[in-house]
Amino acid sequence: MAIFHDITTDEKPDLTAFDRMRHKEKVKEAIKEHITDIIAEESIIGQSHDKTYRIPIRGIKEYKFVYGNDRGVGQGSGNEKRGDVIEKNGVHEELGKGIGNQKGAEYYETEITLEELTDMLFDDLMLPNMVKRKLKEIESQREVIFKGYRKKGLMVRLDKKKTVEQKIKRKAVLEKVVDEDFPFIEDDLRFRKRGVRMRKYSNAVVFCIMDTSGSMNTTKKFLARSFFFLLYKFLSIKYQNIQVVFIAHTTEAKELQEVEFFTKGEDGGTYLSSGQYKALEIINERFNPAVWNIYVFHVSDGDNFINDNERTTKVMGELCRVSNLVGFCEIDLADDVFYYSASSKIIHLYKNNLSGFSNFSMAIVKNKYDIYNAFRAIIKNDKQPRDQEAYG
Amino acid sequence: MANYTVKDLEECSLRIENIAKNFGLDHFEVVYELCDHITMINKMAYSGIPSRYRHWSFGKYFEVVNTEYYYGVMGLPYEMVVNGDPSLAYLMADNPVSVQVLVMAHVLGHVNFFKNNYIFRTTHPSDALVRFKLHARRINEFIDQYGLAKVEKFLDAARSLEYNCSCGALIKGCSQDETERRLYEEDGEAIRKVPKPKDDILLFIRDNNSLLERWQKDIITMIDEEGKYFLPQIETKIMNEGWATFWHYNIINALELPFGMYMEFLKLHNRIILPVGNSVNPYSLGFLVWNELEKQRGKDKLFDIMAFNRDVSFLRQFLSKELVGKLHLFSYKKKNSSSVVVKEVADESGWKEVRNELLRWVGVNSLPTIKVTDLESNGTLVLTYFSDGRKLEQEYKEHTLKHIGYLWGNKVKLLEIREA
Repeated sequence: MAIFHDITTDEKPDLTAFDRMRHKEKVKEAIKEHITDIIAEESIIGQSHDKTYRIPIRGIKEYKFVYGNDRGVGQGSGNEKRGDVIEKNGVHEELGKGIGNQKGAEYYETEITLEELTDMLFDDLMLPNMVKRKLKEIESQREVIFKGYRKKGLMVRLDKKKTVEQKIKRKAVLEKVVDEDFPFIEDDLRFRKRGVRMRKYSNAVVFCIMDTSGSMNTTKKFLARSFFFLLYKFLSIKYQNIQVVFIAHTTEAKELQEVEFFTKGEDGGTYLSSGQYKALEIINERFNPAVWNIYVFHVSDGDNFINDNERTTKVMGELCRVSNLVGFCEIDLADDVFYYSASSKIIHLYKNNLSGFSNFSMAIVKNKYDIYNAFRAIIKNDKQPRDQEAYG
Repeated sequence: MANYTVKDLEECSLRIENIAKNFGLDHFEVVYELCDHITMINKMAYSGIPSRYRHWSFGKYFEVVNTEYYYGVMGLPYEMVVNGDPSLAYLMADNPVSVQVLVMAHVLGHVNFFKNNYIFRTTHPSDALVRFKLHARRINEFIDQYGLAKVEKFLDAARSLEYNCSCGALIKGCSQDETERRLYEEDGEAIRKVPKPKDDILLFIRDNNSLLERWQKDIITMIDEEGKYFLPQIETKIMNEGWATFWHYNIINALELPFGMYMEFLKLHNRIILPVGNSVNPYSLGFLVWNELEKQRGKDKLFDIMAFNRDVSFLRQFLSKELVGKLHLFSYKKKNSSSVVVKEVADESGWKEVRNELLRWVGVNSLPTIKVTDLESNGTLVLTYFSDGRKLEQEYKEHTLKHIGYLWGNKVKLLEIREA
């Protein structure tokens, strides 16, 4: 006689929890190896940290001796003839790949949050010279802490337990039995004492300057936004206190909100210097270089009006003097023949005139797979501005 | 649970067991657990075994099945049954009672098979589940003691050889002397040095690598033992599924169900034996062969055939030309990653080749035969792959050899001998 247990109503232990966790760790190691493919996905831009994604991942393989699957037996409709070509049904394995001989699914999905993804992305990227930053740390957060008890204080901070303890102690010391009517006296009262601890944070401000002129088509804007998105995520992990200034420019520059910045399109000509002057202006107004770590990133297709070249060189130089890092990233699509000559000029121009600044770096992005490398190239050049180095 | 109670199931089960008894189906007792789909997937990750050691591959299995289920690529099985005495079976609680009736009849077929097929004798069903539990406890203790990284690395390596054990030689009917003689012919000079081939690579390493620590030897023993528990199921997949399908069909027919319920049952039964895409469906293949055998010899004769065969011998003897044709089987060669070319079809000149190709992929023939054949004076472990012309998957071969090198602690070499 068979026995039946209905376990649907039981508390369900999560049997595979540990093994899933360990598997997930292994997957993360694997994801890191294919990081560029993942971050090139358009869908990750502008999402919040805790959003989870189901992303396809390459299976972690369990190696055994197995046969290659270059032949076998199939079941058909009876109309098959020798030499017919049949499309394989990708989902189902052929017969004979019994449980012992299964290569297993090569691809499946796992859930991961954007936060985990970005953490993984930047694990091996460190901001150099973090030690030298001490000067730029300011006390930026007050934290209330418990500092013991005292006899005077606000009634809201009265600690009842401690107060009762005091009364009991006093009663014991009196060494006489007082059964009733042993009231609290003022001396029994104990109040929690609070203190304030200042926490030190390193502060950073990031200027994202994007060229939104007519020559920046949708693809280029997407690449630019991907770049900034990475950058923004990266810096918000490395700094507890980060401010981001979004600047979009054509021949004129505007400061924008995050959402606008990542979504808005514009049209018009290009003065690279306009965005750069805007950044400089904001630095002077709001971010004292003595207190703030300043990062300036400019993404453009490099298609600048020639009469602006002199100005942009000059203002980039000035930005280099006040910033930790100035990066220029050029989007240069391979099929973009029309703009090609113009764009390489701006790279040359910067190279010739700004190479004296060790904190200036450039990168060229040709397709979405270049983004991560461009990003790394620029970040690696992160140097302490000269005027600070003496203090290091 | 759907529109029935545990009591309903008990009544159904009793009627089914009575009919099975009249048919002469002698079986282990069954303990059923009714569970929801998430529990089912969790259980599936561990092949239904209640306690297993910690290993990431079980987590991976969960993710794979869960993904497939989530996207509707694959439904979950109606049932899962674990070889043991008593046997353990899981039912999906959401299924209607007509499905449960079929599943319970199906389970009895499996459990009868577990109890009576001769190669299952080595699985020691009465204490199998307890042994799994003890293994789990020991390995988890090792993890706590020596650290996850160390134990996991060793487990990964040992697991890569879990099915390379002595069952292979026994079952393929290839005696050890024969293998040795072949080696003589291949390499006249090496004659004296060549020891008797050792089938069980894991146990050879355990007994001959003196640098292994005790916990490592223990893990090898456990992995080897667990491999041997699962191997009979690999070796009898088609027979076993066919047998269970054959008996659920016969039992349900004998139940004299009301017409509506009977139609539901037929629908489900037909779905089970339907080929999926172009892959051979073991249920329908096995079911058809058993049906044919019943027609030729009657039900009583089937029990002996079931008891003393495994997939390779079963199909070699009983998969006739007619059945190959009826199933529309064909052999193929891969053309590219997404398509294949038909090589032989089930006609007068081709059906034998189709059957022979099928035999290469069933049961133990689906696992390559690899044995320890030599131990060189510098400590290199020599393995030989006894090839029937099929190539080993290159990437898998290389990584598996790395795993073996880690277990062996020295160089490992893989030779290949083409068998006649």
